[in-house]
Amino acid sequence: MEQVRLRDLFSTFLKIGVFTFGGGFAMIPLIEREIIQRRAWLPAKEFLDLLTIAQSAPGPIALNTAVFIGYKSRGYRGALSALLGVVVPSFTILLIVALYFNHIRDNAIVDAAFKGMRPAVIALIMAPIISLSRPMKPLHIVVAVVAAAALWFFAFSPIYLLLASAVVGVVWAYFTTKKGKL
Amino acid sequence: MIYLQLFISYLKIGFFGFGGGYSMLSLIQHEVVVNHEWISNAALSDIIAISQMTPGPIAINSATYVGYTVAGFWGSVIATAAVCLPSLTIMVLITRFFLRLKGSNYMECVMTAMRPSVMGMIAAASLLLIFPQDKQGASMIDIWSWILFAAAFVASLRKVNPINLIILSAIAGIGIYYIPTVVAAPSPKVEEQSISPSQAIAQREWSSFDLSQSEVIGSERFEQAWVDFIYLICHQEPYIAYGAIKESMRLCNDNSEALNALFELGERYLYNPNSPMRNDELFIPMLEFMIDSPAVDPLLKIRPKSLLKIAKLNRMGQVANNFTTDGGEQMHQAESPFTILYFHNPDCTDCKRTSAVISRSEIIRELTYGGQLTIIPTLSDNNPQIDTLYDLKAIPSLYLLDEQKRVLLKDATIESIIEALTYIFQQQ
Repeated sequence: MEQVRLRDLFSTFLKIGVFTFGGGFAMIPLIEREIIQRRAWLPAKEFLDLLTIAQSAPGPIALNTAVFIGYKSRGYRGALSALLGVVVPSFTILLIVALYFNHIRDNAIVDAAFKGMRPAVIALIMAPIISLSRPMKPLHIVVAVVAAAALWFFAFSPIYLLLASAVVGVVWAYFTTKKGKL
Repeated sequence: MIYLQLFISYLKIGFFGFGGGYSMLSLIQHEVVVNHEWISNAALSDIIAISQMTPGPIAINSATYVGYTVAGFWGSVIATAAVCLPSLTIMVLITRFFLRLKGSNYMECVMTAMRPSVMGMIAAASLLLIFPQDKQGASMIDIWSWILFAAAFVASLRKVNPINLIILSAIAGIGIYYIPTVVAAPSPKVEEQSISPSQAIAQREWSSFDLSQSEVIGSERFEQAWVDFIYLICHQEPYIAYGAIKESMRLCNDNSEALNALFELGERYLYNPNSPMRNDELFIPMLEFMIDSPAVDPLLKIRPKSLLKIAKLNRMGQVANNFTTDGGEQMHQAESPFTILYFHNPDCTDCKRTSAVISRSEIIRELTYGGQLTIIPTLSDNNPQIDTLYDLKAIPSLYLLDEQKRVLLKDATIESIIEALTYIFQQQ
């Protein structure tokens, strides 16, 4: 496989960083488009693994995702390039806001643009759920629905949910793995 | 050492902030607001609002903003670096571990078990965005939101580039929510002869609202309509404006919830010293209505009563209350055709700006030199009687008086006073 250039890692994550409005999950559609479809740095079937790992580690999901893909492609330097790509837009924009535009949220045009963007961002986050669930077995989909309900209705902490599912995975592996072989 | 404190705090936020985004908020709040008192809660909610309006993770946004506020540029660099560091190191370790174990049965099973949970998490997060627990940050505000949502959803399934979708939806938002407010600047047309102009304006603005429904009253649309209404009537004759305000409150039909909502808006827009729309002449009819209305709880009338007393001090057209100036003279003794009362304090930044504008203004210099204008600067802190005679909500406060010491402009900006003086003397 051709080696990924650091410059490309940086610029791709820069692009993603500029358009990630509304928190870490809003990155999902952008990652799918830029990293998986355009650049093919990650096979489509590993996309959910990436999300799983990014969720399980501390820190913002956006950073974790960048570090994972950067490190997987080019090691430490790759991780750093991708991380910088995500951080630079936020950092620059917030610095400009802190310096000059403390009243940006009172601006009628900005406000109107965001009223339009928010529903679209939610739709963009939801659409990949459909494409991700296609190859799944019915049992998995039931688990996903139960997990969503637990989080949504009972404000269950996501950390416990992830821990619980990891434990289920380990127990399951214990019974299916032959002794002496990891 | 502020840099070190910033570094450690944001290192903690990065290290313990699982699940990203809003689950980190309480952690950020604890460190920044409670522990170190770097910023207030209100400032934090401002940062959250700004974070929602700018791209990027909220943890980074808050690090940059708080870092800059607390310790300037290098503060923001250090805080941002600190919040990234745990992600960078831990994720590198996890990724190595994952790559090494990839293909093993253990990793396969753990991943298979975790995948549905993560899907559930994403679904729950998007549901929470559609139906938020508090109405403040609601994303779905009207039918247009749902149309945009549906359109973006279909387009996204059809593999339209998400970046283009975000840009298009922003343009659509401006088209839907901003353009109509500019194009449809309302022109007051009074057609019905049987009702007074005040009633006509109030009814035209409010007939589309069902004020008996509580979700209507708190809505953004309601607030916007009220602001438009105020904007419309503040350009009318004073008696029409006065009547229209009372009529708007009468249309609440003694619904105390609606009355209180209107009163709150009034206090925020017409009375708050920082509001550019502040206008005692429009606030007074609201206060009078609140005091007279049988639907308002007697306890809730206490505040309107005291506010009315203050608002009625030195109304436009009345003779301003006399007081002893800092120079020991009586204010009413000033002999020029116009007088500016300038209440200020030595250490307020806005006063310095106002003083600078006064000393730079050519018309003020000309008029004072020619004996047409007297400026009476008063240090409000040194003069205890002022507080009972004048409503000094905020310093600086400026009044323009005529020869008989009647109030021409009350609690006005220096710019509007200069504008008024320029207008008066151009007429002559």
